[in-house]
Amino acid sequence: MIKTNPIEIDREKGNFHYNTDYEFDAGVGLSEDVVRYISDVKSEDDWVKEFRLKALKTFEKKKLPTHWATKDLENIDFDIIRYYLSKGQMPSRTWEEVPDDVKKTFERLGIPEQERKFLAGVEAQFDSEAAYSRMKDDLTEKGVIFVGSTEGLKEYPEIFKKWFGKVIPTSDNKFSALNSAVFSGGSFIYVPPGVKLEQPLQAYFRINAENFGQFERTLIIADEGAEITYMEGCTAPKFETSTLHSAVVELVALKGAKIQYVTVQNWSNNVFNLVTKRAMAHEESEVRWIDCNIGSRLTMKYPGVILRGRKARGEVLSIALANDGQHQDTGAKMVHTADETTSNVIAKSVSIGEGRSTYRGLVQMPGHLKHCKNNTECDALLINSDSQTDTYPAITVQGEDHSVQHEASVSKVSAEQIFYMQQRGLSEADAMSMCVNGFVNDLIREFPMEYSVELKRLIDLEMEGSVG
Amino acid sequence: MARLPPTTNQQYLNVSTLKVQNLSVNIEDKSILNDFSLEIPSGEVHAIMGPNGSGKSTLSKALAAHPSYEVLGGTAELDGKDLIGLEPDEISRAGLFLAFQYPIEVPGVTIANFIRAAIQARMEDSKAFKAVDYYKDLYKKMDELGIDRKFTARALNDGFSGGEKKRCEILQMAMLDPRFCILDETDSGLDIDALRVVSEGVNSMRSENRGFLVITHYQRLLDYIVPDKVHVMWEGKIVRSGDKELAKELESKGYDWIKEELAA
Repeated sequence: MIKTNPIEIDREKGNFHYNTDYEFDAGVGLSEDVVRYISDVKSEDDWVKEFRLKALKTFEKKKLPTHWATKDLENIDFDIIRYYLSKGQMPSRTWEEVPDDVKKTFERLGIPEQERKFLAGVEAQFDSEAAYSRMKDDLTEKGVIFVGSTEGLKEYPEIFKKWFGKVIPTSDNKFSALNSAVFSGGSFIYVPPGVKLEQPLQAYFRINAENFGQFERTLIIADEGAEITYMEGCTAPKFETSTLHSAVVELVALKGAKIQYVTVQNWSNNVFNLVTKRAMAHEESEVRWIDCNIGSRLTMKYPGVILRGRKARGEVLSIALANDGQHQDTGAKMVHTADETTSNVIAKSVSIGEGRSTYRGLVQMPGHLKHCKNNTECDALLINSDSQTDTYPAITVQGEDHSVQHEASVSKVSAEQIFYMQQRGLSEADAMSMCVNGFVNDLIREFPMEYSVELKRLIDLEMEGSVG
Repeated sequence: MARLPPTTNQQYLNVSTLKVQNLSVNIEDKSILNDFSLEIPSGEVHAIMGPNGSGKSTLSKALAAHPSYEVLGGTAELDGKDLIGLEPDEISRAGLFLAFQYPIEVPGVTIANFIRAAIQARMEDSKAFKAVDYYKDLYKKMDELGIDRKFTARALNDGFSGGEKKRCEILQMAMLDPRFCILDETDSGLDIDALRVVSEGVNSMRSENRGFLVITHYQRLLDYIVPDKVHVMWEGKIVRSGDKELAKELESKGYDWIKEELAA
């Protein structure tokens, strides 16, 4: 079978690096001074600085969660990481104004092209700050806000402060505390009541520097009856040393609002990706996390929805691919705190070579609630004999009025299946790719079209060299 | 035999002769085939019959390079090209099709996508693939084989009945247009109607430029797919060859008859 060249290019899509001069650099290691430096560079209000310093203390106090999570976390050396690097704090509104070396990077990743084709707005973050941020004019007229978190704090403090840190408290976990201390970049989005975005907003996160930590902070508020789809993508070059990405993402869906949050995570295999994502779903609102993890060395991410309004609906659709040297520790949290709330979790993982995938699920339905529903399906596919998968679903249901369903499966691509497909003319690698694509296909269909094509390609690339 | 008009596909203007010489095959160090030889000239249909364990399926799996079968020696040439040592997919693309006795279920992979990928794997430039023509052809052949068109979206063999699986094998065979087809106990698990449909599918593919090896336990199938020659296999060797009457004789006398003759 003839492979077309673009695929070969894509495989290394994020693996390049242009030298960049930074104007602002917080140096190496973490201290109060580093936190103050970040806050000063951003000319933040005192309350933000206090918030950061308090978070630093929380971070220092909290232990790594190695009593339940992987010991690999101990390999993160917080003292050699650079916590803030930027060329400046204000993103450009046109690509022409973006510095050449940064622009080159995003052009190579195809971001301006995607923006022209199908996006309502784009934010492109380069290390600590957004280099570019722009939204279509008609959305500005409708009162939609789409800016970086630095700009959001400055320009819209009254909305920002109201919701900031309310869904995910600083002390939620060690890495949410770290993010709260040194956060920079990420998106701040507000969609006014009744405004429905027809096209997605997209953020692209790029790590460019070695030994760097990216700590973006995203806050999305969909006011009553508003609708928004947000997509994020990310890449980094393959450095020798490890890189840390630790984001906090908070979503607030007010009454009747709909938020769909799509992630295609394709970090290079040296990135620790430790992300806290959670949504607050008010009455009759819908929050949907579509989460795809292909890259990184270790990902720990369990997108959650707190269903706090009657008839709220939460959903997590998750795809994880763990190849050699990778551990995808992903899952979902559904916390029901109101009557007639519904949640749905579908998680599929593929472990290739010595890759390991872990599913962790948390579903809570207290006894005083009525008519709550949860459906959880987690399926694992193992490709090679060294591949690993483990599943930890924790479902706590009290009361008599709820409906809960849980299904889990582990399957393997068998030698007989591969032989059968090869007998029809497919190479071993193509046969394997087809099996894997078939396994995740029903979930990929849920992705916006532009992403599902990209995703299928990424899966094919991952499968190359996984056999033989 | 009268020459049939050549097909439009240039590659099939060659003859399609399968020539197996001195083939020896082991499974887990146990010898199953030893010095096995058989030649099937282009355009002919040969049947191999034999009791369970006689090595019929081993022959088909070994020719298709199933990884569990170890070929110790010998050759298997399709139009002069030795298939031994090639990867299973290379053998397939060289023109050898094996219709499985037990087709494998492949969840998540639809029939339409699978056959499409198999066709594209044979193309110099897979981008030259024409989806409209493909579906036209696919639907036509599905109609002929009595397969509901809805099956295009179903996962390959996943949850199919025995008859549905066998029809799906013949559909793939028809779509891939191979030079040489091996049918491994295609009649097993088929009711009489399905047997007729499947046989018609095979018969419509019979041509001067294509050879068939039909492996079967029962004579019944050979009433529908009438062979040019019948071979009887016993303990990894062909012990008797004849025309279609041999199959009938075998059916009435049973395999013990061969056993006794050999002992004598």
